[in-house]
Amino acid sequence: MTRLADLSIDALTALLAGRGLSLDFGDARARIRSEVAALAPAIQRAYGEFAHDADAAFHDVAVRLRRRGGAERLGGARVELESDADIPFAPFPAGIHLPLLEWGLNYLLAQRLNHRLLVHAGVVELDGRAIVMPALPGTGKSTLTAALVTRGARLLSDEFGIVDLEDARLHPLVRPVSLKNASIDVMSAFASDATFVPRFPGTRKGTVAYLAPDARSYRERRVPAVPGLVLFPRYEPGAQIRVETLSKARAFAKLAVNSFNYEILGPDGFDAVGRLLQASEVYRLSYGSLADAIDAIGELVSRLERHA
Amino acid sequence: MQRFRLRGSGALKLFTFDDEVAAFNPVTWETHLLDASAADVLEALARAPATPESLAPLLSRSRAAEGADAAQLTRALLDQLEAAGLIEAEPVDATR
Amino acid sequence: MTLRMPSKEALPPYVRGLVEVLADPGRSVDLDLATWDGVVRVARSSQLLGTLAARMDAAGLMARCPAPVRNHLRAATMEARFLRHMALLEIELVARALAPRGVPFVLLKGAGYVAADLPMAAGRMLRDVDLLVPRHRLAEVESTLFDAGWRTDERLDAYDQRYYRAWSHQLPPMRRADAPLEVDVHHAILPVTGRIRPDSEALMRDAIPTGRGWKVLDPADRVVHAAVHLFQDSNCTDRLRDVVDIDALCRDLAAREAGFWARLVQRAELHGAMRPVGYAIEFARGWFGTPVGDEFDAAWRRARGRWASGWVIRRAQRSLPPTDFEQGRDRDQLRAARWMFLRSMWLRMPPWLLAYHAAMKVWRGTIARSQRPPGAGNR
Repeated sequence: MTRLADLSIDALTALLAGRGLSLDFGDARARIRSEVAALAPAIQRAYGEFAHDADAAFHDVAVRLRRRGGAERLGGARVELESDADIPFAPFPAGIHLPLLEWGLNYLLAQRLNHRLLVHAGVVELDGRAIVMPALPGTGKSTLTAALVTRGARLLSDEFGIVDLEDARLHPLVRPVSLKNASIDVMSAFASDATFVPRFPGTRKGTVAYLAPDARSYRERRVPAVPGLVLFPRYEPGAQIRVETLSKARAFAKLAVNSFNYEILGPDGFDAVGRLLQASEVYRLSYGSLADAIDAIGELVSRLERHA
Repeated sequence: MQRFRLRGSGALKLFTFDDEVAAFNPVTWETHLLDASAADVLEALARAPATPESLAPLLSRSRAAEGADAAQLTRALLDQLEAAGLIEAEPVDATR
Repeated sequence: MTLRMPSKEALPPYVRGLVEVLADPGRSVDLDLATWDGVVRVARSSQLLGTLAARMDAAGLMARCPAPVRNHLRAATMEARFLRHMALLEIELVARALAPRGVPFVLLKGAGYVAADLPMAAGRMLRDVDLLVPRHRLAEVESTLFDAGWRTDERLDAYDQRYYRAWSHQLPPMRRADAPLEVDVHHAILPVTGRIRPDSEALMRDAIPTGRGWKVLDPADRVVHAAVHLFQDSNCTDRLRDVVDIDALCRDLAAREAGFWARLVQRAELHGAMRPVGYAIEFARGWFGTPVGDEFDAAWRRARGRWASGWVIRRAQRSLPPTDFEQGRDRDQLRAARWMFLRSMWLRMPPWLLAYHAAMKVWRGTIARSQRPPGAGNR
C-alpha cells in the first residue's frame, strides 16, 4: 500500500475523482471522493503518512466533495460535502475544501460511533498511558495536543476521546490536528520541522491550519491506550506552571457535559466515565508556555503507578 | 410513619470518589453529583424503604452535620433527593 | 391482463440486500464486506439500522457478523434504546398532564408500538411521540401541555402555524425544554383537506385502553394507519420502513388473532382506505413475502381498478425504495419520486391550495438559501 506522500498529484486527484480514497484512522475508516481537484495537494500534506487501502470494502463513513455553482471562477465557486444524500452544511467557498472535509468527518463520525463513549477532548499517549484533555474553552487543547505530539507523544485524536465501553481504554482516531489563528504561529515557532498544511483564511472559525500526523502515530492507530491522566489545562499568557488536583466527582461532571453522546448511552456512558476516572489521575494545569506544560505533563505521567 | 423508597425498579448506579458521589437515575437517565451522606442514604433505600428517623444516623458522616439538628438535616436531604427525582414517598397504605 | 406485482428483484441491489436480511437474518452470514457496506448505509438512511440490529440479535447472529459491521449495529442499538427510554418517559409525562382533564389519547405509530411492547418495536428509531385526541378537545390539549411546560418551536412563522392548524391534521410539534423527543398532537391521521378521510371517531372509539393512562389503536387500525402513511406522506426516506412495519404488524397480528384479515378488510372499508391498504400489502408481500389471508385478497381484488393499479404499482416500485447511493442519482427514480410527492400533496390538498403551497415553498426556499451562513446545518 502506498503512502499518500509518495503518490503523484495526478494519481491522487484521479483516485479522489473516481472510486475514492480509502483512509484508515484507526477506530474508523473513511472513503473520500472529491470533484474539487484542489483538495488533492492539501489532503496529501495533511494525510501524507497514511496509505490508501485499495482493497478496503467496508467504510464507516463515505463522503464526497462536490462543486457547486459551475466553474471555479474567482470568488464565485463553492464546495459542499455530501454523505449518503445528506448535506450537513451549507456550501463553503471552494478554497476552504480541507476544513470542510475535516469538519464534515467530525460531524458524521460524532453521530455514528455510539458503540463508544465520545468525549470532546484531545488525547495523546505517553509512556503507555493516555492523557485525556477535555476541550473546554480557553484550554488551548489543540495547541497542547500538537505540542505534545511534536515532542514525541503518540497522537490518538485532537477532537475525540474515544472511550471503550467495556474497559475504558482510549481508541485512536488519527487525523490532522487543527490549529486556529494565533496558535498556528505559536506551533510553527515551537516545532519548525513539523508538517503543516497551508493556512485556510476566512473560515467561520478564522484562519485554520493542520498539523499532519506523524508516521508512528499512524502506524499505531489500532493500538488503544490505557487510561493515565485526565487533564484540564488552562492557558494563561505569562503564567507560571501550576498543577492542582481536581475532585474526580467534578471531573465526572466536566467529562459528561463535554461528551458528544453521554446522554444517548445512558447507564453505559455513566459506567464508562466512572471507569475512566477510577483508572486515571485528575489534574488542573495552568501554563503560560508550552515547554513548561510538556515538562509538567511528563512529570505527572512518570509518577503514575506502573501499569502491569 | 412516612417511608421513602428509591424511584423505579431499575438499579441505582453510583461511583464513589472520596467524599463525593456520581449517581445515575435509572428512571430519568439523569446523572447527579451528591455528597457521601446522600449516597449512604440512597444505598440504604436501595436495600429497603426507610423512615427519615432511621436514616438520620447516616448523616453523621457529613461535615455539615456538626452541631446541626440531625432530623432537620435528614428532612432537607430527603427533600432534595425527592426533588432530584431519585426517591419518592411510599404511597400510604389505606389498610394500615 | 395480469397485474405485475411488486417484486424485490426490481429493487436496487443494496436495498434488496437489506430487505432480504431483514426478512431472513440468517442470510447475513453470506454477505461480504462490500455488500454490508451498502446495506448498512441504506439501513441507516432509512431509519432501519436499529431494526436490523434487533433482528440479527434475536437470531443470535451478532457475533457472526464482521466486527466493523457489528460496531454500527451496536451503535444503532444504543441509539434506539435511548429513544425508547425517552419516549416512554415522555408518554408518562403527557399522561400525567392530561389525566386530570380526562382527555383520552391514543398513541400512534412508533410510540404506540413501543408502548405496547410489540416485538416489531425492537430497535426502532423513534423521532417523536404521536398522539391522537378528539378534535373538539384539541385546544384544551394544547393549553394543558403548554401549562405543563411543552412549547411549540418559536421559529415557526405564521404561514407554518396556519398550515398546521388549518390545513393539516395536527398541532405544530411541541417540546419540553431539553427533551430529545417532540410530541405531535393529531386529531386525525390524514389531513382534513385530503380526499381519503379515515374515521377519527372510530379510531378513538375502538382504541384499546392499556390501564396506564393511554390507549393504543385497534390492531387492524394500526395497519390502516401505516398504509395511509406510506402512500400519503411526502417524506421519502420513511417509506421502506413503513413497508417493514406493515409486514411485521401483519405477521404478528395474524399469528395472534384468527380473523385478523377479515377485520382488516372491515376497518379498511370503514375508513375508505381500501386502496392504500391494498397497495401497501402488495408491497409487503412482494418484498417481504408477507402471508396474506384469502379474505383480504378477495376484497382487494374487488376494490382495485385494474389499469390504474398497475400504473400506481409501477410508479411506486420506482419511487418507494430508497436509493442505494452507489448508483448515483437515478433519474427515473427522481422523476417517480417527484410524482409520488405531488400525488401525496394532491391527496392532501385541493389543487388550488396545492398551487399556493408550492409557490410559497419555492419562495421561502429561495430566501432561506440566500440567508443561510456557511457551516450552519440545514436540517
